[in-house]
Amino acid sequence: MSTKKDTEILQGFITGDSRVLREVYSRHFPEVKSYIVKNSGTETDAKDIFQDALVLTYQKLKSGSLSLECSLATYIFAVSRNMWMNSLRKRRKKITIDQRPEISANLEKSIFTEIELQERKAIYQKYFLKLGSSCQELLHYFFLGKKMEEIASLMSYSAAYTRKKKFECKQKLLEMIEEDPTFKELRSENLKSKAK
Amino acid sequence: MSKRNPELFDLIEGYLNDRLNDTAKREFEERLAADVDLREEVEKHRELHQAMLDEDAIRFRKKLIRIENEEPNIQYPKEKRFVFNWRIAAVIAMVLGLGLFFAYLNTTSEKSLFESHFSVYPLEDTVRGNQQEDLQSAFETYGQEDFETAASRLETVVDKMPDAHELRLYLGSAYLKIGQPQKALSEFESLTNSTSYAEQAKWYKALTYLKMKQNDKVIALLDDIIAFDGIYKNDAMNLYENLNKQLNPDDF
Repeated sequence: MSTKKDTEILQGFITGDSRVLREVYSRHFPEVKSYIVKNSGTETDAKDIFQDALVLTYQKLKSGSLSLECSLATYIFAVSRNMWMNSLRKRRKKITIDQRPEISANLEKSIFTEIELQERKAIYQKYFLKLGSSCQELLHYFFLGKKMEEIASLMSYSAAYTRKKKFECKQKLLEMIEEDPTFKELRSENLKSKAK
Repeated sequence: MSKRNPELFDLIEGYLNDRLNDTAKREFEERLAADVDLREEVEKHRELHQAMLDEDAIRFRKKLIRIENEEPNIQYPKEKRFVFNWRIAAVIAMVLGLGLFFAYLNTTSEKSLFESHFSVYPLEDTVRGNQQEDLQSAFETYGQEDFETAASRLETVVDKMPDAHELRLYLGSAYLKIGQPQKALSEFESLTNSTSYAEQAKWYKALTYLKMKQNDKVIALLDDIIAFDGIYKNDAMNLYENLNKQLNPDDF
């Protein structure tokens, strides 16, 4: 890949250019999928991990807290690999066929810390996007800090119905999150560490 | 902890947003101290609120989901349809005679080739969320496919923000939609040396020349885009092949 193209892809990635993101998917998802499937995962696991890895990379690049010492592709693979290793560790499984990316030990360590920090947040966001569009819209206004009356008027609901609907949407979201296997693992880890 | 209900949620939200009065706050904290499940519930609400405040990440994730769900072969159906039409056209040509067939080609095929390959520069969620009012309204009309109005509003914004290169891709696309290729060309040409949008500009410039029936220039630009091996490579290869079929029908 030429340097000019690298810059263009990086720029497009940060601005969320759909064409660049399609390109990133078609070029790099197969490698991540193959790695995960070879190591006890499914295609769905691979999709989830790849999506989380892209979001984490996007956030780091956007905030300016990451200066890439390797290509974007290597970084995305390194994040995906570490996320999957982390997930297997929690399920008490081991990597059988490893593929170490060529990155420094420091970068690898920082990726690992970042994954731990973002893990729970990613689960909440992922399930929020699985809600129906009216629940997403209502909760979006709610989390922005808008008052119930204001949300009611924006959504053409009555105030009482808005409050009821807010409860139902939030309850549904929490129930979905609680059913997520990673969330359950994180919860049990949390309880264990509190018990010590 | 009592079963989840609207009152409990209101109480937890009031506590987290520091909206409870002193008495209610003290009572709630006493309940918290005695109830491990309630503490866990409050923690979930707190984490949920924090996760939801990161709107940018949610928007980005939404876009990834959309891309993930796209049909994998979405780029190619038009090409197949085009080949099929050629066969039909060949039968008609046999009946009506070669002269009529080539007359038909000259008047319509260039147009359909342009239409098969051109789509306006896509609006991104990031630009939709822009706060500037005139830009917002330009994108709104662009999104509603009212390209006349969008072009006129974008002209105003581009005058004010000459360095906002991406806007020229939108303006050029709108010009192409309303049949003003010369104006579109000048917008795309101004981006040829831009570091971030040179490839996009070349692709749209190639389409503009296609519209203007300057095929030599189209081919030169497509060669460039294919050699660059970037995000428009597949689009460029498809157009190249279809253009070739049109220019050299005997080879196919």
